[in-house]
Amino acid sequence: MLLEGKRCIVSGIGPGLGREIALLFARNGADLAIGARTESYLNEVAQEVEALGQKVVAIPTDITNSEQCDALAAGCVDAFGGIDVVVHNAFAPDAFQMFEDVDLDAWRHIVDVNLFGTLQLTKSIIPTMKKQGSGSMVFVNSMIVRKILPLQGGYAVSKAALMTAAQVLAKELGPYGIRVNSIVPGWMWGPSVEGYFKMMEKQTGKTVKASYDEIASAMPLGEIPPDEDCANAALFFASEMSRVITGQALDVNGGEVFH
Amino acid sequence: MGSTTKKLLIDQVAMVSGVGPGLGRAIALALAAEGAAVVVSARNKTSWEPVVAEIRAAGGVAVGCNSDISDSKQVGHLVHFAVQEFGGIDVLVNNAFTEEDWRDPFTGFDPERWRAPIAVNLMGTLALSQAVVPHLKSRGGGAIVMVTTLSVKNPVPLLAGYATSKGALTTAAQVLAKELGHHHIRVNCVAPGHIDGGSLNEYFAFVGAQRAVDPAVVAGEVKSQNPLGRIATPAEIAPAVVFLASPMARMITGQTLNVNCGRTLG
Repeated sequence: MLLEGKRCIVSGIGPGLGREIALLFARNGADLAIGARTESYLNEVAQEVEALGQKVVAIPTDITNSEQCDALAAGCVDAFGGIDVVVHNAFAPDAFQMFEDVDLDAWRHIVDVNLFGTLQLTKSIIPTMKKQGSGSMVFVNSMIVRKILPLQGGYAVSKAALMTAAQVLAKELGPYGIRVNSIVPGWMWGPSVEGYFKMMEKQTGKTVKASYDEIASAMPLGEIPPDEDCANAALFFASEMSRVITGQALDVNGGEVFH
Repeated sequence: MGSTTKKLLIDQVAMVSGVGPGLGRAIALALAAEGAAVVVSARNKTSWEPVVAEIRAAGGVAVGCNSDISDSKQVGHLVHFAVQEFGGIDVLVNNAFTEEDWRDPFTGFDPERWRAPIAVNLMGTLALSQAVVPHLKSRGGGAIVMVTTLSVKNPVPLLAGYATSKGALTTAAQVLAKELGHHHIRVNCVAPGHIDGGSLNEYFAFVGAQRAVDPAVVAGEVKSQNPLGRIATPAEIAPAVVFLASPMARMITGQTLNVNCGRTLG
């Protein structure tokens, strides 16, 4: 088991990638402190983690709130005695408007969550990892930084800033034995994308299969990567398998974009 | 899938080229430790034989075969041998390489000097990959991992042919990823930086002599330039290869993973 005895924080627990990461980590022996704004998801996933025989604390967290970030970090330390891994998975989606039309307050909000919120939680965790002299931070980024699309500017800008921030942290925190890496998922086959395809089917008549095939056809591997495969990349960076890797970004996208 | 205590490469056959005392050995040991039956090769038996013995002593399965990958006959023989021994191939790790005489600068250089690194690192690697692909296809898919180098993006002086060959190989890997993806064959690169060991010590000695400082000073500088404050060992780099070869990376293709203690960010 790759995370035997490791104490891991995962933010942004929802039905998709956050849940997959939490459960994969639990199956690999990790104890978990999980955070999200929506308590219902949080409690469901907490029960699933417990059912796998691992310890878990569920702490409602809005990462834009510094006190709540401190509480999530402290919750992990109180329960398990330290923090070995954090996976920054929480994010705000895009406003899906063209730049010339969008109220910049909408972009400001996205940046507030995706960049400053993530950095806030990072700040809450650094002292513990620094004291330990070890730790692994995994930032969930997005293919949007590789492949710019119209209507997703706010999200793209926020994630690009986050990518640079992760590299800055890799340089600054490396001397303390703290590694910082990013995973870069593209399309992910899970509840969110499936829900979106179903909505499209209702609205436009384009079948879920047609949507899936269209997206998958851009991928050499011909398959939309399921959430679990993205979770495996996070597991790699969280674990000792990547002990000499920091400041890197790994794209999990079926080969849609190369990096 | 990395989700249980199960090993990552059970029932898989993995071939590693360029197996000697350094990174090739560490990769072969790591693949075997994850349950793969391993075929190791190098030009000389003296290079790979101790690694086969080591894997077997640890309870693993390994065989070895001489092969110069710049010779297409020997490449064909190696692949035939592997299939004879283990019935197929699932993973190919292209680790074999050569360097030109890197003590000479580019100025006034003889372009012939680049021929060997291009012949081995690029064309030899492609020949071996091409010979293995039909066997990956017949297993319903597989993984190819190219061992490249930090020098692709951050070359050091005097290693032009080597860096160029690996740069071309990186691009070739992306083309292969596109062409072979629909056969469920994934192609990725691991780009190590400095690797602790004999070759690196030689390099430190060379740079030290040039600058009239102790090689330890040069080594100390390199370490302090790395955010993690040290130099990776072969055993620490090998798990990145295992990861990309394994089902954990089932949806990853065409990518390069830098394994360099944070020396370059990417």
